[in-house]
Amino acid sequence: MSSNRINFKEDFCKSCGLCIKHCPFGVLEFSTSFNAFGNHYVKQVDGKDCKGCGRCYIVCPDCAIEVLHD
Amino acid sequence: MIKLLKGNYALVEGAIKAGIDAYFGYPITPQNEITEYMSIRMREEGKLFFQTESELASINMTFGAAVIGKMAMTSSSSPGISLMQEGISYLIGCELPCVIVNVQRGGPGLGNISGSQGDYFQAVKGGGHGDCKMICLLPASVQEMYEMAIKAFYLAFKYRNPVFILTDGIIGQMLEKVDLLSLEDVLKNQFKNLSVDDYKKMFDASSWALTGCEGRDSRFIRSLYMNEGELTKKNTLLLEKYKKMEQELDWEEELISDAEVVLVAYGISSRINKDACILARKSGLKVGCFRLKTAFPFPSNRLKEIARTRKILVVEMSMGQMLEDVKLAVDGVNTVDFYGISGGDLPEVNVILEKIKNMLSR
Amino acid sequence: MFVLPKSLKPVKNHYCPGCGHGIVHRLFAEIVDELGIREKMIAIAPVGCAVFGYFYWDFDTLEAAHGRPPAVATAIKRLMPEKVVVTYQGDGDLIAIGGNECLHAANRGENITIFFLNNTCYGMTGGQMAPTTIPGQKTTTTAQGRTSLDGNPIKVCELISSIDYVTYVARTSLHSPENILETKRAMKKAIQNQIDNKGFSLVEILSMCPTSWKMEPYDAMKYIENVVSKEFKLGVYKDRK
Repeated sequence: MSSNRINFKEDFCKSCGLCIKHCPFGVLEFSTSFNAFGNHYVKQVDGKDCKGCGRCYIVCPDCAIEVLHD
Repeated sequence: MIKLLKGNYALVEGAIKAGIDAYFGYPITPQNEITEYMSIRMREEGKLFFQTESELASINMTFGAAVIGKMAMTSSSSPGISLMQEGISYLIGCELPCVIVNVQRGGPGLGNISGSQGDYFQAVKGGGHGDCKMICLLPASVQEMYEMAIKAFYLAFKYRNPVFILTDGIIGQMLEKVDLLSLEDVLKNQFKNLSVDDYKKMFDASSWALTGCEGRDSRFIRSLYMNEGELTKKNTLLLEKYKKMEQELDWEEELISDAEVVLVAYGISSRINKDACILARKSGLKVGCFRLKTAFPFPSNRLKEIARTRKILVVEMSMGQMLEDVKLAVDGVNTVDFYGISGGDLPEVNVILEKIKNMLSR
Repeated sequence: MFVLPKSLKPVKNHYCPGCGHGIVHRLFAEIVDELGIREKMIAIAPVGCAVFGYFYWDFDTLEAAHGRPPAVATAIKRLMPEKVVVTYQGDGDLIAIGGNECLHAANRGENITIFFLNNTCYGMTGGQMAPTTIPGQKTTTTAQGRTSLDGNPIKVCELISSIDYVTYVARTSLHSPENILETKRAMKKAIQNQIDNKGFSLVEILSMCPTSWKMEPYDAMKYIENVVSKEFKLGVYKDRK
């Protein structure tokens, strides 16, 4: 069990989905609920571990994701 | 130090006396002496001279220098000033100081390269798009080219707004005696009470300029205000500033008290008026002279006061531009006659005298 | 660790979903942090979508008239050579209305850095044809697609790299994480060149405009990979020693 932590800034997310498409491990998905701006923000899939590769951070145009290593 | 200089050279000497940091210019007649002489003098002084690729670059480089708080100047002649108008508006919108010189030539279009006064509306009614105003100085001699350059920089920084020097090809290119006075003496002539120290202190831009955010929060300078009501608020503040600028009003009048006709002009036309006035007085006609030294602010109150008991003749090297402001000022209290000549030609003293006689016989 | 840079203000940006500007804004701020030049930075935002750059970068930033950032940058750098002066421009700004200023700044070898975002259209005004629009590409002013009568895409890197005094010219893309990291390397080099007094550096970045292209954000990335980068070839065009 890795302890990498994804720090989501939910209100910054515009549901573009680039992070989900570029995550090699299928760790990310859209939430069913909305953020303050009416977007289905991105969240971590329950029970899936982040490997810490940072590709989501790199492609996110909205600075809505940070990846913190253990 | 008394010298025999062209107006354009004297202007350069004034800018250097003021402490100019950077000059940007593109060749166009009849202001070329400014650019050429700047290329020599600025290098001698270790300051930045820059020949640009266009007037667009000139005004935007001036903007760049202004944004970092430097004393910057650009000059051109009529068509080149038209190209600069977008940049002038940005300078005003961003509240940045600089000095812009228009050595007017004939227009419209390419016009010709003789001196003219056809850019009055362009300079005085804003100078760019949006609600713009600039203090507009009107030198009428080589001496004033020198002194008003010094004055212009101070006013630009005082109001953080471009200051416009509106002159013409004749003042720019004529040789005349000029006394290159010390800063102290120029300040005595051009300001009511201003010390050299206070003059120099005005150019401290550390409270607003972009110089890298060392030891302070980051800053930005912009003229875009997209949120509701934001631009209205900004323009209201600008309007308050324009109102404050009105205290810089300046003019000169001669032989007004007993005059029946007053000749009104600025720049080179005012000197022809002076000749006409002397000749008229010799032949017993009661004629006075009124010369504007600033076009914005405009001496509306004084002109109206004069017009209550005197007829007005506006003499202008255009088809009637300043004339409109004089009429607005006089506001119908008396007749305003006009002698305009456009296309780079000069008003003639004989014609002025004829007009005066006609006015007096009405 | 992938943590947002300090030189980026912690605010939500105004860009459309999937827009490349947000990525390049972040890369710019990361580089400024890494090089420790925040206190020396003077950035110039363009007229276009990135005009609000100053709401996001936490260093001194100004807004220049459309197309004129290279002229403004020239004056600033000449008067304050110790500062780091960067212009951030779009395709309309840099090579349509501002072609002359860019060309002459390059020709003088001004010691400045230009980040040029090429998204093949005028994004802010609604997606009109730009000088960089791909032949056949539909825009709001070329509803049937860009034809030969509308001209061919201007290749900025090829053009600018032919100028003697230019130091560094590279074209990169944002269509994958690898390409984004390559973009960052090029941008960093372009700024380092300025710090080292090496002269004029320009990085052209192929960027997504999903809104004007009428595509999903991921499809827009694929469009760069499959179409845009075929028209505008990636690579280093000049690296003068």
